[in-house]
Amino acid sequence: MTDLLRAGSLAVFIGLGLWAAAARDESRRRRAVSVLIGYVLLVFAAVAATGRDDWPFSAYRLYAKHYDPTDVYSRIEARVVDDSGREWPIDPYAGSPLPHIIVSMVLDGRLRSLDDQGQDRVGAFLLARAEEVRRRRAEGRRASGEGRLGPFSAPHGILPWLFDRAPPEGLARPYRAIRFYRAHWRGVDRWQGRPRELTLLFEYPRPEGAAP
Amino acid sequence: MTALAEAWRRFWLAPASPRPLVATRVIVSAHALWLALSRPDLATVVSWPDVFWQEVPLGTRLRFGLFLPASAEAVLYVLALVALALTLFGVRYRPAAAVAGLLLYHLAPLEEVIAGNRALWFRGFTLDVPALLILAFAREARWNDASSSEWRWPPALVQALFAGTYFFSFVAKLAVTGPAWFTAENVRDFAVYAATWDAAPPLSRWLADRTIACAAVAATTAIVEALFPLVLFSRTARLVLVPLAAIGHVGIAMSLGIVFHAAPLLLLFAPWSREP
Repeated sequence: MTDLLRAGSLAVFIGLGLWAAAARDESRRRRAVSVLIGYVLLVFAAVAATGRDDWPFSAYRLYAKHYDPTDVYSRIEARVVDDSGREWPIDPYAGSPLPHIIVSMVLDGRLRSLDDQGQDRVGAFLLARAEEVRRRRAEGRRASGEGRLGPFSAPHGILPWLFDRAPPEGLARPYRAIRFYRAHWRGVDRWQGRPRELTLLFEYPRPEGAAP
Repeated sequence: MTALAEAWRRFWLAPASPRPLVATRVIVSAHALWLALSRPDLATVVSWPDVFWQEVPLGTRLRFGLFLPASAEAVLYVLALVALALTLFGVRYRPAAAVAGLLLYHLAPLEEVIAGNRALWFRGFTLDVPALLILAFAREARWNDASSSEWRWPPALVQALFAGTYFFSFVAKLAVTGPAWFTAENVRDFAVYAATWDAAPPLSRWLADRTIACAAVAATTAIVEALFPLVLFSRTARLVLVPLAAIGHVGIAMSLGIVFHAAPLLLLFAPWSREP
């Protein structure tokens, strides 16, 4: 219902814009334009006052909170395993066009609620994507998600080079498995160079003998 | 009331050069084209396995029209690129801008919508969508047209929306964290948090280690965000706040790793005509 109201607010914006565009008589047009401007300012102010997003009218609440470095933070971290059994970080463009951090948020939400079969479908999908990116990089090409403009492509919201990616030796052999970990960390610990704590959630394909 | 109506008329509907409107068209469409070309696989998200889409509410799908197969989405993506190029080069740009705005309203959510309602930010297209529609509602302007009140309100409204980006971000920080957001301690904590990605942004440690730098960032952020609406009225405010905002975005990327995709839209405030 809320989504439809939000769609309705855009529809009103478009309707008022069409009214302004269609008005021929100058005084009518000025009135229509003034109503359009007033409506846009009103919606924008309402969104800001309530903090409720009505995209593309946004409350811009990103990064409005305080990040306490003594809090424990958590996210899902995927890592891939090549056919020699060595583990590598998944490429930050494996989940493109979703930004890497959004993929982590999606996984955080989904993996809690999925049964093993659902988790395996997620694993198979991301493993195939990671392998495709690996092949491209091994051939000296950019990942397809990096854009059509080469180095001038817009990066994702968090700079992708802040996330680990496999070194050249990690691109040489095909990936055969993907592991999903829950990572925990505190800012103060990472600041002092301590690694994140990783807890294995599951691996795809499931190792032989593992419970299905 | 009459004075208010007169002030409203003077601000939004005074005769103006067409150049800011032409510049707005070029800047907004080039910006949207840059982002769209940077996300060539946007349309493929609809072909992701169902498990990723399970938690996207039906209302959200209805709102953004997310029911089409990947092949149709790929066509719409190409159509959006064409419409943006036509808008950029001024070829039948009003219908093109309308098509581009509506298609971006449909396509932009694909970048985040499967994360559920926690992440509806749509990376950079937020201002482009209403701006393209505003361009479609306005009269068609050419660089050397005579002054007209038709040329004033469209760029002014787009600029007002962009100024709101900063001001409402300031309001949100006050509402969520309070005045404590704008302290050296908070900026330092933010820099420490940013340094906890796999690699630290180049300046995060430098910033976090210097209380004075953190205090300067906090104060500058408060000043730029709170006062940014002044750029709509004052040439002096533009001269001070727009460069400060641009420097701030570079600093944020270098110290916190956060990219503000709309930053190039600061060009909207360049002196495209002699009028204030």
